[in-house]
Amino acid sequence: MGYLLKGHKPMRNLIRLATLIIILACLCSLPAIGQETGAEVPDKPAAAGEPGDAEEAGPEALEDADIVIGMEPAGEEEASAVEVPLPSQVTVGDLPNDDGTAVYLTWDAFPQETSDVTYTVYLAESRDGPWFEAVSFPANEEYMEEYGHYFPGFFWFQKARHPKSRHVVIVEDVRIGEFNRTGEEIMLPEPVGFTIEPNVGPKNEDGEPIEPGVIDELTGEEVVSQKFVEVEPRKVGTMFLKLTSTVNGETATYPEILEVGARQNWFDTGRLNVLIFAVLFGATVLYFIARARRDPDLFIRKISGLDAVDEAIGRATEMGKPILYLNGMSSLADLPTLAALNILGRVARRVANYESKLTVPCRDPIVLTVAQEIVKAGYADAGRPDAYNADDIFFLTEDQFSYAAAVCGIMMRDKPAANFFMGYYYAESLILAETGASTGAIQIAGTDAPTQLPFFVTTCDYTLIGEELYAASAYLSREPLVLGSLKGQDMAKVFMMFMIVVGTLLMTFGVNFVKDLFKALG
Amino acid sequence: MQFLRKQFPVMLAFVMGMTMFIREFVPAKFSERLYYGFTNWAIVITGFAAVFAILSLLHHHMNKVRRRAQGYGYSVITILAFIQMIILGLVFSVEPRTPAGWEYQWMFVPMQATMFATLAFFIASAAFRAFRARTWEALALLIAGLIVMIGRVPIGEYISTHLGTFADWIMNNPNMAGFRGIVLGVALAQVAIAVRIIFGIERTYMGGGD
Amino acid sequence: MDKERKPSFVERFLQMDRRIIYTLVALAVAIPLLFPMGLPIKVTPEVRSVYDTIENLPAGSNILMSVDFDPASQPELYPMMKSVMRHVVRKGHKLAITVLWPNGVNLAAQCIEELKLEFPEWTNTVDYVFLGYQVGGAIVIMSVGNSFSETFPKDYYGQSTAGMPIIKEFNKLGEADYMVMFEAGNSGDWWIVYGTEVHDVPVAGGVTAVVAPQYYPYLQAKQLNGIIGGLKGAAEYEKLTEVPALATSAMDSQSMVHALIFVAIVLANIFALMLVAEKRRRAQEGR
Repeated sequence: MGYLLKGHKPMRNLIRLATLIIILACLCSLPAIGQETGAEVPDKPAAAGEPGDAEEAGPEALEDADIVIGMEPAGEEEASAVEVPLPSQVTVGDLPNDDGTAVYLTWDAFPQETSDVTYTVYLAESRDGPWFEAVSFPANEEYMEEYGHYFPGFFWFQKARHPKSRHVVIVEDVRIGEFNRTGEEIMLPEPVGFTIEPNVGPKNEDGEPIEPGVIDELTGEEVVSQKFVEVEPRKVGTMFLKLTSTVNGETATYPEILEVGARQNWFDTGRLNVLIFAVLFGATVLYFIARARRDPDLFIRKISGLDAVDEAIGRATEMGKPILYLNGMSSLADLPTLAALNILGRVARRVANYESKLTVPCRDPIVLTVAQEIVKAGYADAGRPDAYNADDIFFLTEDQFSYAAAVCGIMMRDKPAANFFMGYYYAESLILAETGASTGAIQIAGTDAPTQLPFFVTTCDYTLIGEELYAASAYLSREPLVLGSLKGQDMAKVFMMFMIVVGTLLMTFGVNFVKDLFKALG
Repeated sequence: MQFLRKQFPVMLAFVMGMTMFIREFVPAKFSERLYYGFTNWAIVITGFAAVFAILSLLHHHMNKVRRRAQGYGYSVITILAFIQMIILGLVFSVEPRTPAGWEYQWMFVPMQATMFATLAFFIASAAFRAFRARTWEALALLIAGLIVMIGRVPIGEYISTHLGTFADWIMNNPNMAGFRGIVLGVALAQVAIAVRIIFGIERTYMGGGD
Repeated sequence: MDKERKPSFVERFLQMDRRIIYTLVALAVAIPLLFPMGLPIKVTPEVRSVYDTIENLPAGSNILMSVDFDPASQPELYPMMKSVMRHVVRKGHKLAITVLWPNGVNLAAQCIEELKLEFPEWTNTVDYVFLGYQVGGAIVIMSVGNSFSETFPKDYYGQSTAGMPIIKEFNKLGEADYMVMFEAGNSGDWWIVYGTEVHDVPVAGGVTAVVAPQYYPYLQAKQLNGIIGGLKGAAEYEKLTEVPALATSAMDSQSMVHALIFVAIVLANIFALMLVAEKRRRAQEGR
């Protein structure tokens, strides 16, 4: 209907008149219609995107409208007259856990609701309107269960007990307005709470706003701007809401106009579980670090790949050949790269002791600068700052396979005696490792990229699998503080294994809420 | 200077790490602004880092050429390719049907595809040399690998429709179980290393070590 | 190995020159391309799920695609990207395309150009917006959660994105009804973590075969809505959209190479066992 009316005022009025006549006819012929509710109902409230309608159908239409509730099934002629369920137990409030741009509205759901009924929520700046449609949806959608992030208490503890018992809608800033391209025929005067700024930028001969300097390839003229008006969303504050339900064009309205204020929240209770686990885990790690300070003699199991680091460096020194070290393919923002750089620091110190040459081709410019610093510091710590050559740590290319090709080239030309592949790798892993294997180098890989592990395991002498990459720094340094964090991590793992077993058992016996406790609602 | 090199980065890591951690639990508008502010900063810094990369690349290869090091001819090609690509890109832009676009389409793309295609050869050769059933566990792996390999291409369907189903079962069950084990371990290790970095326990990444 | 003794056939087979294997692989790829066999293609549920989602969304839904691969993965990912994009255009959905890998930009542009020939009425800035590349990887994904037009002030063609008709309806990740990302690496993880988990938008992955196993756990955890894995997945999608193209024609080659590797592994193992037996026999004879 709304679509038909758009932009045709005479036609719109005609249809509106016809609708009113039909409704009046229904009123006269059916005794059940006399029921009173005392609430205002929009007749045909403005649909979203039709502010012109909203203006005209605004307050007057609301006042004139009739209420059609609990209508008896009609005869064949009045097929449209059906029972319209009226929302009950309606509550409204500021939406918790949000940035202060929304409020919520909940009401009881009827059993076996179908899409025949449509709920619509209208929004206004003041009690007298004008009213704008904020949300509209079929009655078999939008339940509390879908908004766990906002209502964690309900989600965790009541979800299973009251499935689909309450509807909830979230009313946010609504962006409304229907404008033509040039901004001339704005059908709606500036709605309260919204600011509309006409485009005051450059215009072409036809008065259309243009994008300065952007030329249309086809016409050779400057491109007409799509940006004709700026609509600022409504400022947050007190909102007035009205709720209706509609069946086959018949509408019932909840008798009360609901007033509510939106405000921003400073703690997201939906993430309480995440916070608890994060703090517990952090505390465990810090506790074991503190314990390691008192008792530095912590056990760490043997990682043969790391025991071989000295062997590899020693062999390269004996053969008088360089050592090639790769930090992986990802950026400094990724933890595998940090882990690889940590190991590089340890390796650089040993290489400096042995007086060998260390080559580090980089793929990421930031990793390059950090790697240079690390190797330089490693050489300085070993008392050999003079042996450091910044040219040995260099940038190759950011492109994946060009990088792989370049590294393979280095392997074939320089024939390094030891290759280290640490960090994160993609499909190029096999190309690198297989080429390295063909040159006869001793190869040590370490990655947490599960898909590349099979390739490294097949072609390298030693492979650090997954978390061993992160333990390497602690293992090589034997520093109690770092070792302590490994212990804390193991404790968390024990807890996780325990929860997996307990959770599986509980869920097998139908206790499902445990799953939700671990659900990151946000 | 010592403060800027040692203490300041640790303090910065702590403040930023804790801020971003706390921010995760604050839904207010300010939190969102902070988040997008930092992400914009990160984009800008990453963009600037390209300058380091270009300087390093040119320095490295020019040095090689100056010293007439082994294979310096490749360095000459690298520098020339780098310069001509910049000039073409600046003069004619990089869209399709421009000189740079032509180089991309007809030189870069085939060369890249060639590198990736070498994988097929390397996989075949590595599988032939290294994929041996030396133990019972290795035999189980071998059989599973063979079934997945053949069951996930049309020829597997052609041989038997059950092969595909079995391959899917292997992927969705034993394979996934192994993956999950590794991923959970890695995730915990990542959180632990993050804690170490935020609290300044792990500083090797800044250079200078402990 | 005994130096005076001539190596047996078994030993020579196991030490076969790599180049022989390389030649066999090349033949296994080339011959079926020249003489297609038309092997049957079975559609897997993870590919069907992507197809069904796009098919069942009401026309005009917002779809976000991310082209996160470069020419190296073009043979595998380009056919599937084109097939999925064609499906999206055919269904009349709105499409926003981002690129996280710098060398993927031209591939996406090429795909759009090819589809424009098929669908001349498909209009830039109205039906689709090609946002191009932005540096930053995961940070870009976080940033588009706020706004496309702020993260990508200009689109690939240099037009300001802020006023585009499509951007008015579809200006941030959260407004997407569905996302399909084409991945040759782990940027798919970022889309899941920062995209679907934060904004609750269902996401599917079109990934290379080598990284596909990495994404299966997400599928079971329902963090991914579907996976189109490698050339096989692309061929399946082509079958579903009933437009057989590149991927379908390459399926025979892929089958043959898999069969070749299968045979190579089995033979290498049989011969390795024979070698062990032979050594044992020689040891007994020597005694």
